[in-house]
Amino acid sequence: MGTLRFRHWYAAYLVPALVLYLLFFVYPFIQTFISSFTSWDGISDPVFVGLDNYAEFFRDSVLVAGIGRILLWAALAVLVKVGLGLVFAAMLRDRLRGYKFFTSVFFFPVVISSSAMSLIFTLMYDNDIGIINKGLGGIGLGFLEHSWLSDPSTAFLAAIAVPIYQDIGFFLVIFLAALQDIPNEYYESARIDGANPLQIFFRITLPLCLGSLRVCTVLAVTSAFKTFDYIFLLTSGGPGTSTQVPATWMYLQTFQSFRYGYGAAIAMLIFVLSILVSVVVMGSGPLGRMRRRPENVDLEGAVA
Amino acid sequence: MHRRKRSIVAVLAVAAVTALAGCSGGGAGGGGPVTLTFATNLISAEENGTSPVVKELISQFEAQHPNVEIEEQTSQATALQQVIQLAFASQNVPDVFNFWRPQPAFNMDKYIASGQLADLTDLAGEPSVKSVFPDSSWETATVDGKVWGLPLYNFSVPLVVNKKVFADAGVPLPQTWADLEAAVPALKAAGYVPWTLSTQDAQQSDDRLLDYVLDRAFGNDGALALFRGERSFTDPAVVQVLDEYLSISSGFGPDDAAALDNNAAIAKYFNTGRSAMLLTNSGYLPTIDKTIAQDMAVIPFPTIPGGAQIDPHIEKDLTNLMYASAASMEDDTKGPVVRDFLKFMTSPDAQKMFADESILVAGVNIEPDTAKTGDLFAAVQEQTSSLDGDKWLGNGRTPSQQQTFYPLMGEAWTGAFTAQQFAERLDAMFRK
Repeated sequence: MGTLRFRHWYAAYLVPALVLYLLFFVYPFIQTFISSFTSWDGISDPVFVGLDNYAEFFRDSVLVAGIGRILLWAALAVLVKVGLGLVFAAMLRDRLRGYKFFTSVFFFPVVISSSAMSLIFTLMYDNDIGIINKGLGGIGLGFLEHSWLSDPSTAFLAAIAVPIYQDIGFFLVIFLAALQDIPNEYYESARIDGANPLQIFFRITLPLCLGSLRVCTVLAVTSAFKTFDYIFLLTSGGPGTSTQVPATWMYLQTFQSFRYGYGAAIAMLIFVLSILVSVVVMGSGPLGRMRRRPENVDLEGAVA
Repeated sequence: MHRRKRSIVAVLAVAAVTALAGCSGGGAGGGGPVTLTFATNLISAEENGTSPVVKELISQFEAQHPNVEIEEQTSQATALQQVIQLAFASQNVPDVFNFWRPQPAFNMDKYIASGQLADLTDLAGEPSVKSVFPDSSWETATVDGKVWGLPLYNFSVPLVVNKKVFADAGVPLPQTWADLEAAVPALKAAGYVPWTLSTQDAQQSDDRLLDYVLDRAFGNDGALALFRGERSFTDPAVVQVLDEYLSISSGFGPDDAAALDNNAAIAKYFNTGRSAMLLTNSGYLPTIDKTIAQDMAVIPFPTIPGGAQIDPHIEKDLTNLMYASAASMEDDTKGPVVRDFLKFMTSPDAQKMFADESILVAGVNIEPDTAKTGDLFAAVQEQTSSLDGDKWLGNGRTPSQQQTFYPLMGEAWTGAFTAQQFAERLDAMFRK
């Protein structure tokens, strides 16, 4: 068997990908970073304003409230999307009757476009013809009926419920793939030793899919930080500013107020928040410290 | 082998020449094919209003100019503002486009200063063009002595009421301010939505009632001064007027006004007889169901006792113009076609087609076919021409202020503020 030798000209194969990366990621990123230190209307020459755009964050009550909202969104996304994705995957792992059907049903919403999903849910949330109000009325909870997307107290939760629900199937598929890598012997041993389903889940399934859990957590959190389309399509940030999040606020500042510099600064803020979460979760956080190793499995402890 | 290479080179050369010829399709000389890009928000999914007219006009123009293709770049309503902003920012301005007035509220001052917008003064000076429009339209189209756009159509904000709803609710049609103050809660108590409107920011329609109240109280110039930051909203006299405004607006729109756009709000509430009044841009008149138009009436918005306006005015102005890119106008091949297209789109024949679709055209002596438009449009047209005009108060706001103003208006409609709180929020936004 020969050994593959490294030759310097092999690096040339990296050039196309590198050029695309530099052109479509690094260059725009640097441009955005530079723009964040300017005041620019997109037409006239940019004016350097130092850290003024960043200082404005502290005076921008809409942005501050928006950051609070995406933190709530991230928490709910991890709990619901990742949590339910993992639970459903664990339930489906054993290839129960109807396994393929349920997997397809859970995954089906993932392939629907955000605009179609938003339209469907706009109708579902309608105060007159929406199935939610009709359902509430039908089971004697008519007093709860109201305009879900027009009431500032419910609009944000109603809006983020759509992407959270839609992504459960995506995470389910990731977890399902991870769980199918776990040798059946672990489960069989645990059952022989009398472990109950909960013990099996927490002592075997969970430790052995921590790698996927970390990835899913990062995906769930960063998508909450940067998602624009659902809020824009469902509420446009309203009523008032009660559903504004940094991504929609960035869009409005950039493309409606023509404040490209401030919009760029918000983009940098979203980037930094996303990177922070990724580093914490993937690197030094509790999930990051744990490694996906068979020795983490506490087979003995699985037996009560 | 060499022969094969030569063949490949020859094929590539032919392909390159063909491609280059294709690239210059818009600029090919000698009567060659010309493609004009036309950015517009006049073509929408709904087959009413401006859509059928603009489609028909493009089709007619292309039939008259077989070598010309009009490439439509459509966007919906205010989304056109972002499209045009990006076009100027990227120095890729469409050959022709329709847009709002050449005013800072629409960033037009920046577009003019960029040198990318065509100066249409010569074209506007041609007798066949100049005579189509009144002086007031040309004044609006002129900035620093130069004409930047050819007038297309006007807007007004008529108060349309559903007489049947008022009658069923046992509420008289409001003739006076006191009538209106009494009618709004009475309509709600009778189970009707007093005002049809959308409070979505992009719809920019929930400020019409505030405009009227401020205009009636302080006059159009006085109201504009508030938004230009020349007078404080927290002035006690202003706070009192805001209190009166909130008394007829807060909580009196549809519950789901924030989830509906204007078309949806009209379809859901006004066209179904669930709402009593509609105070919006006349451009939405074609969306009113013609089968119930006999129940509708157009009444003047009442004056306020002690207010600056003694006689009722109506908010109206030139609202849509045709513009061109400077580069296209200077192009030897495209320039003449652009001029022809601008003149064609704003010609008396085109104006007549718009008028027949219930659009308030800018041209003079254009008589719509009332059999097509119906009595409601005729009443709006009559009121618009007979009453003195007030400028839209958004003329006093910058694009950045617009963006914070509309969410505030949406909140005010839900009853989130007292008059003092509302005044303070407005003052923080506009006071210089």
